Amino acid sequence: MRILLVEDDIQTALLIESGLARSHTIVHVACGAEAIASARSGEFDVAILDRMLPDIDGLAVLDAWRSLDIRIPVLMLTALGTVADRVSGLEGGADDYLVKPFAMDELLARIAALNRRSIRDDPPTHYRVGDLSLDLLPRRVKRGGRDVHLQPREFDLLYQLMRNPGQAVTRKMFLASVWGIHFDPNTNIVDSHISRLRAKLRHGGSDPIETLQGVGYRLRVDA
Amino acid sequence: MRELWRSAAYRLAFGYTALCAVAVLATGFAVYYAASAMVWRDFDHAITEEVTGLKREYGEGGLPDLMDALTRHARRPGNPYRYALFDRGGGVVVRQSSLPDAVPGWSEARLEPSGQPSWHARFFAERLPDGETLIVAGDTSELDRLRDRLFGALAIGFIIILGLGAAGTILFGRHLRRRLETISTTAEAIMAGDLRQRVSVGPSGDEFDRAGASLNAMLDRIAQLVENLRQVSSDVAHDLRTPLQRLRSAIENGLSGTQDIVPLRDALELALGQSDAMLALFEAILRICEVETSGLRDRFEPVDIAALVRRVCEMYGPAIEDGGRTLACDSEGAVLVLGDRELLIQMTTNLLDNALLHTPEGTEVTVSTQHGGACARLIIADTGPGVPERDRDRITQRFVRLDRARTTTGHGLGLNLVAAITAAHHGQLVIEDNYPGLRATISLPIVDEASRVVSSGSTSCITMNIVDPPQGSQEQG
Repeated sequence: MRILLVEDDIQTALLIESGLARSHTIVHVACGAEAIASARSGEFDVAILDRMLPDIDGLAVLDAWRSLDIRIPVLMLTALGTVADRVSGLEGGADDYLVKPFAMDELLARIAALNRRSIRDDPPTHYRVGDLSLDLLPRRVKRGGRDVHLQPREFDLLYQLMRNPGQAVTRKMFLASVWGIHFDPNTNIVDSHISRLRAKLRHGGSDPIETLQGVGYRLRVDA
Repeated sequence: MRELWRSAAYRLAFGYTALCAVAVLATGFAVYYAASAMVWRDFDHAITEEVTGLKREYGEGGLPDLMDALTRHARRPGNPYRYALFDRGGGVVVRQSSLPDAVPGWSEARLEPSGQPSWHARFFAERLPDGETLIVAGDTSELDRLRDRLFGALAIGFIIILGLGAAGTILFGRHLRRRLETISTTAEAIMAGDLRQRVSVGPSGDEFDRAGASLNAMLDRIAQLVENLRQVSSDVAHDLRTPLQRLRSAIENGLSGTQDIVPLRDALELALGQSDAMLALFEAILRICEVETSGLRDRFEPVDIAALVRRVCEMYGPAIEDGGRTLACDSEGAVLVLGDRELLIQMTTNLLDNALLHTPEGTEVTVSTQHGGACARLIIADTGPGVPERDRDRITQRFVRLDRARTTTGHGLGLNLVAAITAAHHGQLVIEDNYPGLRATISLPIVDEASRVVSSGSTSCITMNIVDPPQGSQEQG
């Protein structure tokens, strides 16, 4: 996909570019004014926007885009990591918020999730991947036509995986979307819950969830 | 003068004095005019009465009776009036003190009779039925003197007011200046770098003393924050040396070793691990600073701590089970406290992380909430080895790790963050023996949902004073 990267630090920009270049096309601009102008072309699928730019605040760029009716999904990148900063970023209209320093895998996973979100204006209530199906209303999961009884949090985890089939979902993304927490607990609670979810889904069949070492999990599309 | 005018204190006092002077002047003039109008009216009334009386005599007995009466009246001791009577042709019949013939009605004149002192006459002329003119006159010098005296009194009063006002202005201005100067002197000393300076607060408890006391409280808090910042900086610098050394060595080894890809990868992985460890340390430090210093409380909302604990139990249950320990959760109903949901979760999970990290397999971990009176209690207890009593106060401090060799993971900030979050919620953290094991109890004031304020009597929740934000190396007591 085509990504607009707004970042004033050249070294950071180069590193992000080289990290993303394998799977995406990157256009890099270094200031807010340029960012506002570039996005008008409408050729980008996702924007990565640094919060602190030399000319204007990243939030102001976001504001300008939204008032110009540029509906590009925005991942805000920032060195400001307090709760208040994150809240102001999300309230300012960012679709996601990633605090520097971050792992490249985290950035990749979040960009993929963002793009998916932007494609659907009206999120579906029914998902089907391979022989797995998930209904949000009522909350029900089936594998190969057979009901699988999941705990509420196991259901939420699977929902995140099924929204992003074949894509990595990181532990941080699970923590934020399933438990609403934005810090990393020292105990690996995601792994323990996933292992229970796995056991219930497998139940005699193949394992539909793939572990990405040091990153997170991915739902096999061919499951 | 300009200097004085620039001073708000002097301007205020001067303005007040001017206002007083104007008020006194206005009152004085009002009194003067009211008084003189009344006196003149009485004066005129008395003269017309006298004229009426004489006319009555004339009406009863004609000119002879009138002459009689005039003689009688003029001889009366203390009679204030003088008389004159002119016949129809203007000839003098009776005349005292060179009163002139006049047209009927009121007149005034300054008379200078020969051989007598001059006087100021106000007189009433009445035409009698037979054509004579009767004149009754009063001496107004008494009235003039009264007027002068009133004027004098007014002027003296005005001058006294001005004088007192000027003196008051100077005293008041000087007093205000002196009181305010102690504040600006202190501020200057602090700006010069001496953060220990405080405004001197007098015993009277007036506005200045109260303002001084608030300023001092603010300065105390600022000094505390600055000290905190200094402590954090030095702690971070100190604690980063070890992982930085490891990071540097890993990179150095990788560079100086063979060209083989495997040891290079190993070195890079080691370096990545070390930088992650440093980032985690930074994250924790920043989080603590955020909790301790920022205006978190603006965002506080009523949070059901019992539901939150149930949620955390659900979150941690599988991981604790996987770690070979058991987790029991005892939390029912709803208990509201005012706080930040995510911070309260982090506080609870940090304690659970500790319970998991520092205990052997088979340990029972219990999380429970209780509430009594104005106080909600969150208790996390384990049956592990516990912490020796002498270390219990120390473990909530920054960078304190009881594992001296530092073989376990962690950076000694977990409990410090718990203490900081507790303090930010006006709560209290107590760490005690669980016989066996360790028990952490967090007391938080219960909030009244309707009013969104901490319910009255909540101070009884905390046994000590409100807990101060924990400091790096100071003893917690």
